[in-house]
Amino acid sequence: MVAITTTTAPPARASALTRFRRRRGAMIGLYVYLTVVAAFSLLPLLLAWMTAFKDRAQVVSNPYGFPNPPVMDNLQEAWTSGRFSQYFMSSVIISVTSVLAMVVIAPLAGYGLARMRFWGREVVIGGLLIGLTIPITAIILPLYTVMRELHLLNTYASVVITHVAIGAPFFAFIMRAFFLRLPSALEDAARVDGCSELRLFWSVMLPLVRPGVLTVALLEFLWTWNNLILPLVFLTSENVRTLPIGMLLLTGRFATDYGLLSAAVLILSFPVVVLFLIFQRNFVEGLASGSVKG
Amino acid sequence: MAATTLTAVAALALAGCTSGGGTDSGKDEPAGDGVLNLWYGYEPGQADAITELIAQWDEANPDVTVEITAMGPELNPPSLLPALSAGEGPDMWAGTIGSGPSQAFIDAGLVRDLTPYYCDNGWNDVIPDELATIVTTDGKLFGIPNSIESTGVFYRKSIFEQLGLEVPTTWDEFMDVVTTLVENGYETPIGTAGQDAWPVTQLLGAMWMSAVGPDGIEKTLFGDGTWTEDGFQQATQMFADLQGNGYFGPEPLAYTYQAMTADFYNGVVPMTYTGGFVIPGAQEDAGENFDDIGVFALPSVVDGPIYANASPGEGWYVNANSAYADEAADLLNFLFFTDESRTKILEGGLVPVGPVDVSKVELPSVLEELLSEQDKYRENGTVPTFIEVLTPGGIFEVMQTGVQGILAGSTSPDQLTQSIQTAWETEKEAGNTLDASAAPQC
Amino acid sequence: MARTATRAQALTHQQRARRRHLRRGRRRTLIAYAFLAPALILYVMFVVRPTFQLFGMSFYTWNGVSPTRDFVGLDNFKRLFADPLFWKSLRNNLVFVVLLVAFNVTVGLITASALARATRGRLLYQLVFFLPVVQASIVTALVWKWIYQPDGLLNRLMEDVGLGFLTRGWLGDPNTALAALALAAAWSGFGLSVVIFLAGIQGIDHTLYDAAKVDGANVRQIFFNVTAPQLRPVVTVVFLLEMIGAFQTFDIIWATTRGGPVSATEVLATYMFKRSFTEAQFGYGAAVAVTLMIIVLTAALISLVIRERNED
Repeated sequence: MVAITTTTAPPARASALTRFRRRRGAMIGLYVYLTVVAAFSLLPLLLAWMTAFKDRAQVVSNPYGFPNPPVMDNLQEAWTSGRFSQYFMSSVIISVTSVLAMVVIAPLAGYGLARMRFWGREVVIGGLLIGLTIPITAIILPLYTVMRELHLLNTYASVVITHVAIGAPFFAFIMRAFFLRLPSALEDAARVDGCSELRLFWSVMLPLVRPGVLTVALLEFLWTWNNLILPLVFLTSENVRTLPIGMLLLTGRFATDYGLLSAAVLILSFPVVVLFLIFQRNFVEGLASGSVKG
Repeated sequence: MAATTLTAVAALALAGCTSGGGTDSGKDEPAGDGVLNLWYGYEPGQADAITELIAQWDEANPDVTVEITAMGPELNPPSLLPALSAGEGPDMWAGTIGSGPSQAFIDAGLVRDLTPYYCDNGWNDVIPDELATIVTTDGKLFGIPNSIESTGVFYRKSIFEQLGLEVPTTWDEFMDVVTTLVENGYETPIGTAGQDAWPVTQLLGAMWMSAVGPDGIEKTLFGDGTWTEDGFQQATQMFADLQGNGYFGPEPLAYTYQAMTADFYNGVVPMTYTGGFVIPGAQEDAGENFDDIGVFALPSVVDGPIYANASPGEGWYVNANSAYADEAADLLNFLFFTDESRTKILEGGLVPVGPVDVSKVELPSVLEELLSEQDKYRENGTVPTFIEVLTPGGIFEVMQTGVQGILAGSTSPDQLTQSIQTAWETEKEAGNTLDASAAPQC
Repeated sequence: MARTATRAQALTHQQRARRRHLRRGRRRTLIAYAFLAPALILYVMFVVRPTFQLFGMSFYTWNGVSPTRDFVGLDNFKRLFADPLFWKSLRNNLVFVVLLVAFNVTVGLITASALARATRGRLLYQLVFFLPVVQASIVTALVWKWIYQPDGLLNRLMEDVGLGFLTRGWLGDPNTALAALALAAAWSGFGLSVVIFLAGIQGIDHTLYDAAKVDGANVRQIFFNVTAPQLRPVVTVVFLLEMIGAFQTFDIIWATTRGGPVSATEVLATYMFKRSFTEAQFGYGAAVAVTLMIIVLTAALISLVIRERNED
């Protein structure tokens, strides 16, 4: 009797203190790792942003330290003689218009793909998916001809339309993922009430996928803001050029003014960084839900 | 729904809001109150003689406004080609001379024949015949070269002085200079921008030219000569030897042209092979070291005569569909064929085509030296500076890759010359190589 | 009489039901296409139609500007397959894709897991990881070009930590250039993967974790037996998108090495661009583009098939 009870002793466990120490060690290790990765992400950009405030002498003598003293000359030069003020406006117009167009078109398409059964649905989905594999530089020549036929060359419309046309499949699928998560009970109820499809979409479904719409808006803004090849080909007049082109123009062949170039980088990335700072939380939620179900 | 309508309205509104500079405006308006579109690439941050001159002409011609769109070697291919292909494009542009897109434009009838202006305005007296033939197709002149470019060995005079070095005139002397520099701690006696490749092709090209001479290169380009002949082989082997002996430094492929010139200005690299095109920018970039830069002609690799070298820089073209051809020709006339303009261009560091009276002009010292070196050897003949001006585009690409291969040690001289010959034969079959043509008859 | 009438009625009832179903289906289809119309019209006009023109172009020799072009059938494709530079570009492209996707997916997953367990500063870390993602590709190219210079940040850092013997011209060495560019591309993309994976992790049902802990599983076991399988659909999506993007990489290579040195970083997109624009051979360039598309599609399909197979 006594022998039996003694053999059922519980397995040895580390003391509470050791467990706490081990967990804290793991936590510290975790944060070290995260900080290293964060440094990897941040340092190159910090370097660029700091260089924007250095004059030519400092770029040579103090390439990796803080600007001492910081100068605004580069930013000024980029903004005025670099014509970045002009390019900035063009970029804003193009991006804002593209976003406005996309947040209307993508949810409409996404909803159709998600909540409706119709003939040819598989074909449409397949066709849209294949579109993701088409490299833009390959179709730029035929696209140019189309734009010319429509008399849209050198207009913002040519770039906006192309952005929306190319991005529509991708963003439609993101919206589709959002719509798929909504319970079908909602629309069944609405349909029974005699609600028209459009009304249903506009008043009921769309507000429920607001995070998705925000995601689409942010991503479309980002993509149109940074895009280089489309303005390069379609907008060859100085007064409609965009910021990335301005940057490209600064990369001369024989000499590089690193300070000026860095100022350009700062101006180019400033708006998108600010946007993502503000909408970070919503964006993260939106993107996550969109791709988890994707 | 309201949002969609709004977007549609916005799109339509934007379609109309091109504020003047569009390419259509040049065609519908009567020649008199119009806009002359010019695509011109200039190095950012450089004081540019040409843009100043254009502004001058613009003021003197009130009924036409010149609108310059900054282009450049980066931007031209994807922008210019679709535009011209669709019948659009600027009224004038500055582009590359040679086969490839420029020749394609000419062959497709998209470039205006400038022969009438060439004859009537007396341009034929200014542009030497050898130069005119390069921009002539089927007896018609299609482009105006904006400058003459020459190359040579650029060196730092103070370093030579310090080490008691003389300017070499034979290859052996040149090698002596190099070894002396190495002994005195200069890791990279001859700076080569391997990463960008094109600067190195100029050195290899120059070595080729010194071996085969003007007749040899003419035979290869227009006759039945090959790129694998002895002269080319020997020159390529000697180029590979330079690399093998470490005279290009420990890592030539790591250098971009910008980095290399920076080191040259700093005195880390005592010599480099480059051309007059670097001079306009060098005045600002080299700062106080600018006056210390000298240049001498590359000695012959076969101990033969040293030749002068010259190639046209960029070509200025007029759109065949432009309604402002006369105005464009007038601008060209002003820019490149009037003494005042040519003097101004020269002062800016670029050598315009045709006779220049150097005595009246305050030239940068290094440019003076470069020109005098060319003059010194001109009687021996002139060879091209840029191979790419006379060969189809594919050849230059092969040459660049091959040159990098030699620097990396993965390509042998034989392989390089053979690959160029193979590419050359393919292009020749396809009819892409230049024909020896004569200057237009007036 | 009555019995035939009922049978006739029954048939008509079926017919009527089917007709109603068809009518509803047709109506639904119409409405669906009405919703899809804006997207589809733009897509067809500005993407599909040019793509078909691209297919057509690949059977011709054309310099891009001439009003005439010569029909050459499959010659462009024959030339393509015979060109050693094409195969080198393809090989480089595959290596690049593998490096890039492997980095983004692995580092993304590990970082996301770490972030999930971090209680403080999560949002801040996310923002920092995402900063490179919002940069334009020309910015990424420029910044990393500086870093990789012989006197750039990377070599400086290496010297400072005693790894001076490793320094080199990263973009000038044919052996390291491609990997160096892959790292730069990864830098600009992995933040996106982190964010997506993190959200995926946070969406995993907690009860699964609790059950695993009760079973006495340690961190690694939890990761491989709970987290990873649950994330499979997310990983697939990220993997596919990364792969498709990586195959089409152009900007960053063009802005740094142009495909050099010695074609060490030549990929299909740069190969195509050079043939089309620099050498004015648009028919051939179109053939390359078509081949690139087929390769990407094939790779995507293979990935999906493998994923399906693994599910079982």
